[in-house]
Amino acid sequence: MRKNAWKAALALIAVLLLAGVCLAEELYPGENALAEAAKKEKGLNSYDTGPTWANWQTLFDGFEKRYGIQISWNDLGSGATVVRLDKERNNPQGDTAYYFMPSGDAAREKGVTEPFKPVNFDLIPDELKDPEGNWFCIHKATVVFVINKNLVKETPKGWQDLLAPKYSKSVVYLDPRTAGIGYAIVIATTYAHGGDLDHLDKGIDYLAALQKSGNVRMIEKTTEFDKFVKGEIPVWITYDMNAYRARYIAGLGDAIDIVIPEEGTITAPYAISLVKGGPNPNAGKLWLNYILSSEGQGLFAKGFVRPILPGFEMPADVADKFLPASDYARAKDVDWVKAQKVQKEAAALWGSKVLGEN
Amino acid sequence: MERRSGTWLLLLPLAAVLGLFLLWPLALVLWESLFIEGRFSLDNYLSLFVRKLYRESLTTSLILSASTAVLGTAVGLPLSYFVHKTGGQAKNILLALTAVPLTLSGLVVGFAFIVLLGTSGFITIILRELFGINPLEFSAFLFTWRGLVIAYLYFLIPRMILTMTAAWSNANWSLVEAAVSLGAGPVTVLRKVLFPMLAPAILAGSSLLFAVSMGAFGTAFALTGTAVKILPLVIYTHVSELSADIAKADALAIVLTLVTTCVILAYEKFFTSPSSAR
Repeated sequence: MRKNAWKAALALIAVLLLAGVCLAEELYPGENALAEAAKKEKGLNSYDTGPTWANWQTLFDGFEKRYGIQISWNDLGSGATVVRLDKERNNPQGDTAYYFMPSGDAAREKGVTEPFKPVNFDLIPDELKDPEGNWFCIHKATVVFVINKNLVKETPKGWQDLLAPKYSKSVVYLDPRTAGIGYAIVIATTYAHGGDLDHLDKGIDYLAALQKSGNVRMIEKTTEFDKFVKGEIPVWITYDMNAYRARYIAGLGDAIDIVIPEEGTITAPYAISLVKGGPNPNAGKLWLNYILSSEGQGLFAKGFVRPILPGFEMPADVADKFLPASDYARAKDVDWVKAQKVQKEAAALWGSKVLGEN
Repeated sequence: MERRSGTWLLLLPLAAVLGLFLLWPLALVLWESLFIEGRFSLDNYLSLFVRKLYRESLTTSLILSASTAVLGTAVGLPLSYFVHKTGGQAKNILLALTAVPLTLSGLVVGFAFIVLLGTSGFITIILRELFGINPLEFSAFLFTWRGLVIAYLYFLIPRMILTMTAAWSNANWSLVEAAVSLGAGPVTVLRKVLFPMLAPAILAGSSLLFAVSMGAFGTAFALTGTAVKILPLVIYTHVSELSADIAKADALAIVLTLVTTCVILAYEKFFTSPSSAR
């Protein structure tokens, strides 16, 4: 009798296990086989995916839960990531590298990326991927103003407003020489003032005027999110994902205003690559597929990070919290591959015209 | 001879550590600073004289460090005398308290100042309530190099106090008593007896303050933005993100090292020569 009970229990467990395997629906064809290969490797090194940026922590958690593969990450900054890949070219340590899109193309030029076309690659708009798959975009952000209403009485509507004396020592943005977002802000001011990638001086002239007005409080390097939440930054020029994060996740709520400038702004895409000769290639591919799967893209959306796949249905509770689509209509898409070519000059021009360096 | 070689053996671990973690990286930095795109060139150094940015940042760094050294000495000296005079258990407690700022990382100090003097800082809010100052205008000072002088003093004054308390204890007070009994007034005692006696320690302390604030990075990094032109921050903009120019950063780092080393060496040369040694 007891023997039979054991047998029954074992059979039950076997059936359940089998069912479990069958029930775990693949996110895409071939997922299980890739996952098996990845599990034989030594984890995964994801370069430049800082956990508080772009909701990465949630994606780490989702990935580790689904595959049981540990992710090691670092938070270098886009340009530094390319430098690091270049330095490690003979002994690569990273499996994937994430950056502001122009840096992705810079990495391709240096030949440190491995062409790979992840799941849903075909759906990514052409201008947001390398045709070979050396890099491809995974999410977008939009340059906006975030206003701390405790420090600013009147919310500015656009770039021109920021020049008014009432915003004395109030505006904080990032250094275009040290942060991708800083460069995105240069491009945003350029497009808002009728310029384009061939006429970046329009944006830089504006930023110089802003500097001259005495309204620039400080020019930050990379991490100013905490300073904003702490109440140190009256007017913050940054990405919408940081703005919503401050409002809904850090809980500032109605104490802040989020503004898409009336003269216009731009969207900034972020890209990722498989590293050439990385130590865990299968884990790298599995990770990239996961990020572009509906599950991964949905996790971005939950953190107010705009997924790259066109027509991706945002979860209703998130969609309601975004500014209206009519505001987002003022945000232009930019040819970032071209933008990368003029980036160094733009940074130097910004340094000389805005900071008076030469 | 036997004993001598034994001593040398004991020094080996220290030499290995210094070589591995000081000389070797320094040599690498120097080596990399001498190449532009794989070709030997001194341009990285020459540009330090040509580009206004580098000249300005070197000058601002020097002014910043000189200011902190002078102010730190001016405040640290009387405080150290006070600590010395307290004596006994109280002195030990005071010394322990003094050492606290030295245990904090530069980043922590930077954020501490934001919490105190930032836009919504503790002191700023009190001042706004009492005197109606504009918090934005008031706290903007903190994000300039002058603001850094204030922040640096927080961890520099304790260094001065620790250097000086030892000097006060070692000073030969009988000389002071002798001078007083011979009819010297306080000014004369200070000028002719105390100052010459303490000068080496004061200079040691202030050159230490100078060197530390030349190289301090964490506090400046946390507090001010990249628009403040001091050497450590300019080096940072050259190793980060988009404008990565490692060779230039290496050259700047070498200059920074040279300046601090020269200050320390000059002190060693002029004030610890055998004639003035105790």
